[in-house]
Amino acid sequence: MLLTMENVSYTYMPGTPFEVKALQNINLTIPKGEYLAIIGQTGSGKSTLVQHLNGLLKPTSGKILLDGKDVKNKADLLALRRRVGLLFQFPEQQLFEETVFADVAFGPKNMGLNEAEIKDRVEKALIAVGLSLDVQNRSPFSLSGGQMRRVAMAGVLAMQPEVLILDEPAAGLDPRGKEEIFDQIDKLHQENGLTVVLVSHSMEDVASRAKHLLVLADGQIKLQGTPAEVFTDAAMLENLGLALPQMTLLMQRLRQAGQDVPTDIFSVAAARDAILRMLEVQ
Amino acid sequence: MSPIEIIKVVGLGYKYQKEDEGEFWALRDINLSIKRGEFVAVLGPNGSGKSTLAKHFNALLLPTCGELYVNGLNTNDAANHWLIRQSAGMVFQNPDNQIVATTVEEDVAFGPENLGLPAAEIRQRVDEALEIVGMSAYKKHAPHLLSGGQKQRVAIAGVLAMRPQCLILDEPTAMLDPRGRREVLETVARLNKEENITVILITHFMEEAVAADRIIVLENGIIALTGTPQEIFPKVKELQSLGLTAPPVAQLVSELRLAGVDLPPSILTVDELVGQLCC
Repeated sequence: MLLTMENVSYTYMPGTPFEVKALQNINLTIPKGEYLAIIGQTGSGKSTLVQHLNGLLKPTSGKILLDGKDVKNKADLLALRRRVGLLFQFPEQQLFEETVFADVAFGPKNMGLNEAEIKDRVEKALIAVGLSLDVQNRSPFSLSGGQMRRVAMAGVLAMQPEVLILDEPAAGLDPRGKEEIFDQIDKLHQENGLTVVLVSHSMEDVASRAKHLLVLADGQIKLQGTPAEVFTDAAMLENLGLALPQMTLLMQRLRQAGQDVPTDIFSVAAARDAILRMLEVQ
Repeated sequence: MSPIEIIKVVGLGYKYQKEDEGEFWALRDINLSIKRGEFVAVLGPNGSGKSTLAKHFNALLLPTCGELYVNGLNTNDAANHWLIRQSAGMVFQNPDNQIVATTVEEDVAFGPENLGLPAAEIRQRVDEALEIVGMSAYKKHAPHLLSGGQKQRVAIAGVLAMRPQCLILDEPTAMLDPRGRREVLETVARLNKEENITVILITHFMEEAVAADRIIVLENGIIALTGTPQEIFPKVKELQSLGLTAPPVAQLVSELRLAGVDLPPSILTVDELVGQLCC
């Protein structure tokens, strides 16, 4: 098992009037090659959870295991941070260098790599996020919002992590920008075997992209399973401040109206096929 | 300008300097008229000029050429700005950047206090605005402890306390979870229907535009498409070429029609489609 959380709890500002139990007894395993999406209302503990996965936060109680080994000392933490890359929300706000190259090279440079290796990693990372190498010498601040976000993502990929955690990677992007960034993530997952942990508010995106879902509420895991398993109980999801993807909702309504259709449908294409079959039978 | 128009835009262009490429026209020759009580959604890819246009509606930006009138007042005349900003209120994407006070009611009172209104009038406006957005129970709460949707509703209440005739919302749900989005959208729809406030909603979420009276699609600073949601969303291919996607239900209807299923092209919601398929 690549990453494991064992009975992890985390309390912000313990012992003060502002004490908040952000995570309670989280047990979670992330195998190599997983594509996990974490959903839940604002304040449910999603960001707190993912910050444990790369050692930015240490559990108040419980354990984080990397390859089955307890992350305890500084060397373990460094290994964890190197192997697990975290892309924050609106990461373009963290760009700071004068050129795209320097920004993406920042991580590899700090790892003490030589110049040829750094150059190689920067180029690979830029290609992986779908940017042309021509942008290397430009200021990151002269790029569009979508391009800046890719530069930030390249900065994380240049560290060659095994796990990539993304917190709302498509927030604020237009539909095309959103498709592009998710397609890049899919490609990295499928072709390079990158393990992906995605935090998102978009039910459509997590349903059609992730293999497994984890539903958090009040710092606890309320539901987990495949999209088909999680997106069944509309009333429960609504209670947790979430919703069904539109196509799943449509299928459930058709079923309630007496039609024999499957409800594990998350994309427009799958919905079209299911409805065409339904009409044929009639 | 006719009395039924609240906003009129005539030949508006807006130019600014870009670092590497020199000057750049963010908006070109925009002509537009918005009626009182209308609900207009503005769509378009990143960089198409949506936010630039929105900032013109309450004189945060001024046209490089052309004119924009709010209630018949030209934004090019600085003497009008105070009145324009009272009639056209703006809500931005990130609620955390819009909240200034330590309790919800103080935050909502900020605007009316600056109008120099008597205390009783401020009290009444604050209570009323919080009532409208469904946040009365939280008036003594600290804004930073609210959820994203609640904070955004407080931000809307702050604008409502100014008694605007027009509400401009620039991607107000971009940072919210599904419940927060629903809360904000339901509030906006109610303000439009019940309080007859003109709404201009800028969004990347196509589903949010389904409830609008009219959609305006911007591309590269010009108006590329305009019409009702029922007219715009069936144009699945055209929207795609503009970098947008039709709402899932509209995409599905278009695919089903291509496959020979007899459906009206204007279906936009799950309920409408279920009704059509099951009758």
